Amino acid sequence: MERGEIQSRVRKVIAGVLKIAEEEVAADANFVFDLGADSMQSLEFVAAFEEEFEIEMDEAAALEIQTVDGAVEFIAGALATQR
Amino acid sequence: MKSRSLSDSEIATLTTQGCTAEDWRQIQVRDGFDPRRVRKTSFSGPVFLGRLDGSASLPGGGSVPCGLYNSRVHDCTFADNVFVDSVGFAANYDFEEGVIVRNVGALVVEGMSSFANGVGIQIVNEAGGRELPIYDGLSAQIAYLLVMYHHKSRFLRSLEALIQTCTDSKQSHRGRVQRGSRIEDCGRLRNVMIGAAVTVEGALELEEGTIAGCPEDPSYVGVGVVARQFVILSGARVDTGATLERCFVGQGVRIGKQFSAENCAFFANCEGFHSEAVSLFAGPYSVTHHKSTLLIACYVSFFNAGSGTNQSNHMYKLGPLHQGVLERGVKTGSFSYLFWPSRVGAFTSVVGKHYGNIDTADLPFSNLTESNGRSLLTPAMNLLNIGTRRDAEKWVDRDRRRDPDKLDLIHFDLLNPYTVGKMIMGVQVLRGLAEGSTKQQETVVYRGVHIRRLLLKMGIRYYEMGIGLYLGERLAERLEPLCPGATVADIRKAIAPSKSFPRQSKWRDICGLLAPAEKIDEIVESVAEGRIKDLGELQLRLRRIYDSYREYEWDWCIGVMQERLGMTWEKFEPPQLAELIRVGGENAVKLNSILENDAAKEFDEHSHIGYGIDGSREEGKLDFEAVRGSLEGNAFVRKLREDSRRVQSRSSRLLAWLGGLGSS
Repeated sequence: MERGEIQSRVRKVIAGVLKIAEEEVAADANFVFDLGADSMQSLEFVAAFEEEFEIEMDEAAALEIQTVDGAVEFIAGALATQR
Repeated sequence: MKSRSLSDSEIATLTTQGCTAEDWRQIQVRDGFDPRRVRKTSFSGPVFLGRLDGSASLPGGGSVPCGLYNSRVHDCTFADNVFVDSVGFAANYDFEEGVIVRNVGALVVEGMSSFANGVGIQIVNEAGGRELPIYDGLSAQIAYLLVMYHHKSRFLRSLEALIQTCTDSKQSHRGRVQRGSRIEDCGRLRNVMIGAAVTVEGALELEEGTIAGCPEDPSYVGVGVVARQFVILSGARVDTGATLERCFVGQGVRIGKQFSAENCAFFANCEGFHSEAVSLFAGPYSVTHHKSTLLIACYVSFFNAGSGTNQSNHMYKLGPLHQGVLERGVKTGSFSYLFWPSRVGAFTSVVGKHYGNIDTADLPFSNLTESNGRSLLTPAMNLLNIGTRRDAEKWVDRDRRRDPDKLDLIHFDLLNPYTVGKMIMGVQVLRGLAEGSTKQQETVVYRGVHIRRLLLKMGIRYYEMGIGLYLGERLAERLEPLCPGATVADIRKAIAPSKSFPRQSKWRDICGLLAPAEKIDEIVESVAEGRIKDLGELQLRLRRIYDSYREYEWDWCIGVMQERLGMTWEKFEPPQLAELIRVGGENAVKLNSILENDAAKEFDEHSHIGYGIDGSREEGKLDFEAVRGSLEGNAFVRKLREDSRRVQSRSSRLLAWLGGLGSS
């Protein structure tokens, strides 16, 4: 999957969880500081990414992701190893 | 004790010193009595006076000669070297050696009294029906059975009879102030039994009560306290304007700062300050510290109430008859609200206001929040919370009880057959909900709460992580002493369950005591059948369960492993055991990593807000580090890392050894 597509789908997922417009989800946005996500929403991101991309994410590593870019990077890696 | 009447010269001395007596012949003294140490004191009724040759220490240093001064005494006995000064009226009391009573309005026993032993308090259900008879040997476990097992009517009748026998024996028309106790600067004390090493200082009014104590763990009742119908146990401290009515205060409890409570019981190491409690059954380590908090009509244990925590137990229908249960380790956030009847699962945090009747007993370690007026539950979330782990470890260190006879039996393990059993139930619940949901659903509904569909899978995963960690840890503990020399036969011997296996059912949390259900049922049956003859024997039986925890726990673990591996324990082979240890070790390290990540949030840039108040960001960072320290330097984080290293090292050793054994 192209990185651009991953990023687009990641932004869509994040916007869906946080109930904000996709345009508000900047590529370099920090989940907590910029988007106001809380701990529960961080868990929900992981679950939503897994469902969206049909991948399994390591819990500990996934919860360390802080930014949109970080999520894209992580998912790209997971897609490469799990497909 | 050998006694004699006063001599004429002694009476003359006493009279000269301003003493009067209704009848001097009613006064008996012991050899060594010194009449020079009794001044301006009036006597009536029979009075016994002991030796007076010692001195009493005063606060701030200095001492005064023991004796009776400026007081009025009726029908009292004074053992050796008592100091009594400025007591308005003391009647029907026996004062033991070394007691100090100074500046007290009245200290009297009127009529027969049980000193609150046997007083029934309306607990958990404010409207009644769960009456708890309090007494000075009540443990959290006996209280729990008395309050919660009303469906076992024969048991209840038998247990109440045992308590009646005990409390009948406490009936007396005389009070006692036991050895080494002090009562100073108090108002009126009526029908109050004072145990050993008790200090009552500045209390306004105490009526119908017992204050127990012991030299190892003195208790204290202090300034401004008003208490009626109460029992206070050793090591407890009630002070600074607390108001208690029909209350039980257990060992090591702290109550003060204008806290008021009615029909409540507080067990070991509870703390109540500033706020209000009504019909509260506070199991061990429950704390409420802030104003505007009302805890009403509920059972809690290891509970932490945030400021403004509130509940409703009726809605103007048939009265205040609803009740709540907050299982072990629940925390409520500021101004949280719960609507009874509700039951919240163990180690769940509650934030926001919840207007429905919820029951999340089978979903422990969750986070309950409010979203658009709905109760939203995130299952298993608190397993990942550093605070949960910290709480569980701090309780052990904060046991204040120094009494050699610790009444409340408390197990502290965060993961145990009760909580892990609930997690196993939780997995089933979440799986069922996931199977019944569609991708279009944002949330599913379960017993009064909404759960985000996406989080069902996460909840299952985190519960499984906890279950795997627990089983692996317990197994590794068993096998570690055998590594590396033992054979497969040795392993089977080491993992063999007890003789009572496989009788394993669900576990119960009996107000701090974790126990297999059937062990509790055995005791309940024994009481009902009259085979347990007194409260001492009952407490002993409960203590045996407490002491057998590790054995019962292992039986439970073996039962769960059998279910998971689909075979009986005799058929377990090294590769299967190795897999349990591998999974347990990996989960432990993974969870520690998640917890460290959670702890890191306490030190990140967000946490610097408000620091370096007049300076730059850099100064904010420096100010923060000066006040809060760093993640690297945090003792708890270092402990987590050390734990991960320990687990990894042990897993490696055990796996290498088990790998070399192969299958038998």
